[in-house]
Amino acid sequence: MRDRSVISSNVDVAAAISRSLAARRPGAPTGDEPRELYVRFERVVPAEASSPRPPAAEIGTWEAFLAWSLELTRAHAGFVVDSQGFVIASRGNTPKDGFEGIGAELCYAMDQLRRINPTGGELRLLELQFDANRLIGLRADAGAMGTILVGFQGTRSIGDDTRDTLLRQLGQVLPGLA
Amino acid sequence: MTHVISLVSSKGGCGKTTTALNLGVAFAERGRRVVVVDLDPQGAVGLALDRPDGEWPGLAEHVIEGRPVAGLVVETRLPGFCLLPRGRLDPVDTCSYEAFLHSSGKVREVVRELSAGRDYVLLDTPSGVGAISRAALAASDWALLPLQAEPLALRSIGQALRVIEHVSREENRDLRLLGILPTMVQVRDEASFNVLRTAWARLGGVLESVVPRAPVFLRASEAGLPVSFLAGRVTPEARRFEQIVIELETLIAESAGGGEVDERPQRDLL
Repeated sequence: MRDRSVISSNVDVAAAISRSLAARRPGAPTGDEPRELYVRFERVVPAEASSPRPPAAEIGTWEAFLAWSLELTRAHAGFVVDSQGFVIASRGNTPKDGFEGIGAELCYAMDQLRRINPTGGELRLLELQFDANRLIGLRADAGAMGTILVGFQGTRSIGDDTRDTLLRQLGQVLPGLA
Repeated sequence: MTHVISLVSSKGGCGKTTTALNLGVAFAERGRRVVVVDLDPQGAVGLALDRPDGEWPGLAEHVIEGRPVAGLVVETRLPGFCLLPRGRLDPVDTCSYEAFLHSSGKVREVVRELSAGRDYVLLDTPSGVGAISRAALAASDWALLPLQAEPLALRSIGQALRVIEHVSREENRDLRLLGILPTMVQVRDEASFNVLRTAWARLGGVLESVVPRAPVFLRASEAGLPVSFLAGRVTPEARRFEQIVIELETLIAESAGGGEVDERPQRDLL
């Protein structure tokens, strides 16, 4: 009996996705990127157009800073690493094992990578694109505390404007947080 | 190991909350330790149980006032079965609540805490595939999709599947599709039966168990009870969720490569 009541193309899409999901093993990649059926909102509206601008006085803790910066960057998670490589704050979709390993490795990597360009000064920003996600590290001076690294894990890059906004905000709030 | 299952759908009214509650009861009646978490800003779980809106403190009090989750869990008379209600959230704050749950990682934190000592955490999400559903999927091992056996639901299920696929690709690689559960099935209605046949023939992951559209569900809703708690003759529908639980546990065990699967050797009859 022919199904007269359902638009077939909608079912075709559902069929393809559901079969792929049903066959998938845990942790395995989900296969090729699906055909573009939709226009993505996140590609149309720049992050800066909706970025929050709370006054610096409102950010009194690292958690508050991360909450603000996660909204700005649209990252899935954020963390702060002190100069000793210890994670002192994290927020968002934290991995099961936390960010301790990632934070320490990112600190070390940025220390090493600055040697690529010895005349370039300090390495302030590192963006790494992995298969599963994007990792961003942002370093700032925290005076007597040494350097602070703020890390983000998500899928989006941060543009120059977002980077500058983050650094500017970090510079304003850091004396109170460090 | 605790299994976290999100019940999601792009279309409303497909039976997510009814399924979550009755599945939770069925799991508990099989000796499992279960909590149903009401992530719906509407407080659907409390409404389904005919509680006054805002009676119970719950997740909202944890989010807004910082009250410990453990003190907000509601124990029921069914051993092993408890609830984390929505809480006394002002409907005016729904937008802020949704945005917070999505961006804060709070759902994952709460799930982690509730998982201790439990076999299943069932997350009842609001209709649609918005912020809270995304947060739930990001914190879950499994997605279960109730599919109302009517054409509009079948036409829109691809949207929920798309979101599950995206979350499993970008945010939570442990997330898997547990199954698509046909609900409100009317086998004697041509359109409803067509949807069921199409789902079984075309979609992957459709469960063999179905939930029929039956008067007993209205009676249960009126009484504010799970179907198996109603007085009177034990209807087939009351046992329906037992069957669904068996199918789900079999799927979960098979995905892990074994576990407690009902098996028996071949026997001779004559």
